[in-house]
Amino acid sequence: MPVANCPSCGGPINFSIGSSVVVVCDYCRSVVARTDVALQDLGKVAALVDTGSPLRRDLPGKYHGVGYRIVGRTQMRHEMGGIWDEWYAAFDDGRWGWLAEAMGKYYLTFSTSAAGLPPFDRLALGQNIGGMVVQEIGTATLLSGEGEIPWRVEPGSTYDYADLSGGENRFATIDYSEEKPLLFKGEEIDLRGLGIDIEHEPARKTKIKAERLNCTKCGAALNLVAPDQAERIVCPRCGAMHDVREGDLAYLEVVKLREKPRIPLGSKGKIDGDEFVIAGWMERSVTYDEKYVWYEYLLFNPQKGFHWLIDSDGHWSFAHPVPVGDVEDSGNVDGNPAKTIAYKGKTYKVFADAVATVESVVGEFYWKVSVGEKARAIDYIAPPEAIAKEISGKGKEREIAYTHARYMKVREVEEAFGVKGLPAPRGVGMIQPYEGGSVRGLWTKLVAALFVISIVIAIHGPHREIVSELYDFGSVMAVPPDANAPPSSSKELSRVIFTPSMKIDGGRNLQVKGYSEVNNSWVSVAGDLVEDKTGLQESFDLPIEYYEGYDGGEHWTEGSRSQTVYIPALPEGSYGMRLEAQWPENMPPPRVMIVIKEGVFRWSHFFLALILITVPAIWTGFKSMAFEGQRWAEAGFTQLGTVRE
Amino acid sequence: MGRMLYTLFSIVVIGGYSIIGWRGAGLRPTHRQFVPHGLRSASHGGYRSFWFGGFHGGK
Repeated sequence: MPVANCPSCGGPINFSIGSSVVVVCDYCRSVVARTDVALQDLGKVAALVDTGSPLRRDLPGKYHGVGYRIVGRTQMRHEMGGIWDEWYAAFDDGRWGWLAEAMGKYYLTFSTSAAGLPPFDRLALGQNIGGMVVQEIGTATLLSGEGEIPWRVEPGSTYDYADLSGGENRFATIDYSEEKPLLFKGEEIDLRGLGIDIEHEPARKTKIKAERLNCTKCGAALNLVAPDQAERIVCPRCGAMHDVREGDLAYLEVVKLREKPRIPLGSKGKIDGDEFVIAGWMERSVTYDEKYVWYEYLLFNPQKGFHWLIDSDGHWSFAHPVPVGDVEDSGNVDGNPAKTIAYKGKTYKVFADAVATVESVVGEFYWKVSVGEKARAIDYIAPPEAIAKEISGKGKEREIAYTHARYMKVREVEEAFGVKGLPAPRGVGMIQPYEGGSVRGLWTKLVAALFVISIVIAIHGPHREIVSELYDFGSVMAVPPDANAPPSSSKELSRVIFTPSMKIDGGRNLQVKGYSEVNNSWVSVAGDLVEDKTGLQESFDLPIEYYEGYDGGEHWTEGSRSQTVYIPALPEGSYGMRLEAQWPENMPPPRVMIVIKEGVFRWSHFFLALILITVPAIWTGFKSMAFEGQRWAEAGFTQLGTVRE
Repeated sequence: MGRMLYTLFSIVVIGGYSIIGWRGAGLRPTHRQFVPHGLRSASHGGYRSFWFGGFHGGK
């Protein structure tokens, strides 16, 4: 039935696609369905609203190598008042593609068989269905249409739907227009991905008839930034709020501004290499025990879309929306928030959960913003970044949106927008990074390096044994009494041994270890190393004492049979050693084992170095903890994710 | 800035430690003396006997 006549007006209608269900008559806007027996007039639809879409009927494209042609569209109205287009693409391989266009974004989906989809009344925002998250639940009203449409369009009918996001631009819609829900799966995509070369299309129309309009209240010029996407416009001069209705401005009310934007509307600034224009500004607040206010600038870039610049107590952050499906969030939209969420492999801790209220607005907005508009706002932080989760809407008409933000220094904002004199930040910002920097990871690496170096030195260091001898003080004569020394009453004996000269390489420390088999007694060895030529003398003492016994049946010991001393590096040379031993007279002359090593590794140096690198790390850690303490003092949650009392 | 300073400081500490550790050097200051040459010469038997002549080193 390629060409027929409209049963209403008799005009020609064309079912060019074998699987199209209805055709909207181009002459009388009647929706004509084909049945087994005849054409059926389903009633008239309203005239199409100019949405400024760059798409059109008969526009060809190519998706993943398969050609298609746009053959029809419907226009839907959101309960909040917004209108979007759904285009229908007839593919060369016989498939139908549903191409939804809203707020400059495109979503191409295909009908997919699905089982076990929840009924509409059991659908919940944030619910995970087959690995995708329900990000919006709503009801659409069919307003208008044109061309060939692959489903039975009933003029004025409404149907429930749910939009799902699966991350990595995956997108799906559950359509509740029929008894059994229908699933459409696909992706968010741009015109290039749709194989549409917009450069060869007629100039894109805009929703608003001109980029320069005048306020209906005061007549001031309204220089629009994104005229084809504006839904609400508030005059910066008189505060008159306008609704955008089919290309015209409809005055709503006057919005009183308590504050003025610190960066003027229309200012251009470059952030992360992209130029943005400030389209709108709004003041928002949350109330705990007192009201906290912050300011949000709506930024627009034709390629990047809408972004946000947020000013909270002089702390600035730059934010952009992220797909709901890209965020791993186990929290229930109506219950307690998750303690943590994850985005791109990074974990964010819950920081605040409150109802945010719009206090005042000025400029243009891509949604029908209003003073008093409320949304549940949950902030998750991983300084200097944050994820803000906002849940808006009422009843079944609800939506989740996530925004990723990063901290910006005041100077960075001033340089980006060419402004000066922005107020200094107050207190510690929610995602303000700690300027001292964390050295925990660095400290761990340094300790590991220290340990490895120590092991290398201990194993491969240039240590050498110089002497290892057992000296018997019973084999030498006693020291003659010193004529100049005062008379001594002690009953100690003393003898001296001189060793042969020994070669010392010099420049390295010496370890002198003495050992004697004393038992409940002592021997004190005084040593001197004397360089043969220069007479340089280095002295050391080895006081060895060892006692043991039994007390109450338990064995005890005190002291040690060995003693070790370290001598700082000596110059290279040949050294003789004088050992003078003293011991109590009730003991036979002792034998003392002396071992001298050169270039001995010392753990004391390791611990000294460890302390030197650890003390600043601990100090930095304390400073960082104090900073975090200040940050979390303002939070609605503790760092463990529990609600702050 | 703080992190950079800490990094530099730590490099100096570990570098110094590596040198001292490899050489086995000591950190303690020394109070060394020289045995007087005259005393050594005067003592019969050279330095091996000068202590018997009344010199007791640095002790």
